[in-house]
Amino acid sequence: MGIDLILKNVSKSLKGKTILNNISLIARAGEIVAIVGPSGSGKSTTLRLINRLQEVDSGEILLDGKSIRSMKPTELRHLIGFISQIPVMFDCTVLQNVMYGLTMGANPAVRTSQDLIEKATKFLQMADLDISFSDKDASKLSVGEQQRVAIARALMLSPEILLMDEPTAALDPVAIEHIESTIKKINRTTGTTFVIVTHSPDQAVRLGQRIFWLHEGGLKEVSKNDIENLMRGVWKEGSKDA
Amino acid sequence: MLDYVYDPIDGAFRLVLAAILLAVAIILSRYKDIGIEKELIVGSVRALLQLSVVALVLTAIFESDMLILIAVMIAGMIVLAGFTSAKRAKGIPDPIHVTIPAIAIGASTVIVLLVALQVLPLKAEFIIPIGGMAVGNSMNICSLFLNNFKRELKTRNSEIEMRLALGATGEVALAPHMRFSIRSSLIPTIDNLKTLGLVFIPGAMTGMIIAGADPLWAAEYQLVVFFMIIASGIITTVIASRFVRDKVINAAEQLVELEY
Repeated sequence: MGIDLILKNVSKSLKGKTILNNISLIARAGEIVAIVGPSGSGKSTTLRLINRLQEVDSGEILLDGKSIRSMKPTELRHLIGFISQIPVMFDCTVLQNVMYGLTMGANPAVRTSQDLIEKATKFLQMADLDISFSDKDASKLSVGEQQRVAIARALMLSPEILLMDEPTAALDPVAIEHIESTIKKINRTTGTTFVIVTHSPDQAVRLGQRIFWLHEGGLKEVSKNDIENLMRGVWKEGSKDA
Repeated sequence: MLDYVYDPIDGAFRLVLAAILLAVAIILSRYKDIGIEKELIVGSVRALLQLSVVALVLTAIFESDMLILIAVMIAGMIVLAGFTSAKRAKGIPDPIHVTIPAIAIGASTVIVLLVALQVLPLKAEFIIPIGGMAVGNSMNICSLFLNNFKRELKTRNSEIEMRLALGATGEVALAPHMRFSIRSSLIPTIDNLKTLGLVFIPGAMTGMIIAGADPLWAAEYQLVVFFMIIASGIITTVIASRFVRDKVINAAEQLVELEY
């Protein structure tokens, strides 16, 4: 599983400000690619362009060689899973949340088959959540647990690519370690391509097989050694400005 | 119903006496520094002029009893109601494309149905005031719906986008928020229905009783009016939800960025 993702000369402006200026990126099938950049550098925008929650101004995004604009947005978003920084839980149980992408919120009694429940349980376990969580109210879980539910929910659609927008930004160090090991395990067992954006160079080094640096609208591939220096440079610049 | 002839001089005198209440409100506003004196005066003068013109127009229409004039009057009400309701949808592109058709379909469906079922006679004296109630209430409910829906869009944005990111169509992603907005917009009407006659005697019934009608007949008409208000309200919001969806979700199933 997992397919190639290519961003070709992509540009995007928001409210008259250039966010992304002619960026290009290749994520090969099964790779974990980390995009690092300071706050407001356009990391989230890049992900939103890939699953077409927003439109590129110019350039092209290709999935397995096929332009995403030639695909139906609903089908595209089944191929590309999305995990947000703050997990969004729907007002129902953990299991119903996990099945949401396939039931679309329909009455579970009508739409839920035993196969679907078994599949959801399998992905809950893959996201390191015990089966006892199934009937719990998703909104009552801790943020770390909710993030696991969100991962299981995205996996339910059998995505080829998983986009993660600062998936551990709201978590404590123990939960961060837990989520990171889950990400590696899923990548290893399913071969899903991961594009993870983070402001943490350490996390990029821990997770990314390749690392990209996004700053002032530009994107470039950097080595694991360079990334910390680049980020430190931004912090220094910021403290000088202050 | 009425067994006396209306005397305009006598009427004007009664109006001046009733205006004492307005004077009390203005004095209180001044005394307590509430600051609405000017608005009260301007609003009252406007209301006097508007109602005088409407009364003259209604007299002319009632005397002619021409169907086309009735239709023009109702259409005028719908357009005005549409523009008023659209003000509640600031930020949504071209809101009158939502409000005017929604109010028009909601109000005219119930009026046509009531006439077709012969609950209402096809006479200007019945169609215009009752049609006005249907239009006015559809407008209020439409405004409440749009206001609630805008708030949902703003506060539940991440939930809607997550549904879209999971492959939902715009219709599915917005459905729970549409349902909530429709339900909330109908709460005042449903509460009024529950307490009808107990907490307050509503306008149509009050008017008929003052005009000397049998209270049973007045009650019957009041119920007709209420059923009509509820039906036109639901039809209006369902139509508005359909049209407003196209304003906030584009062909690529993306949430359109709105300026609030």
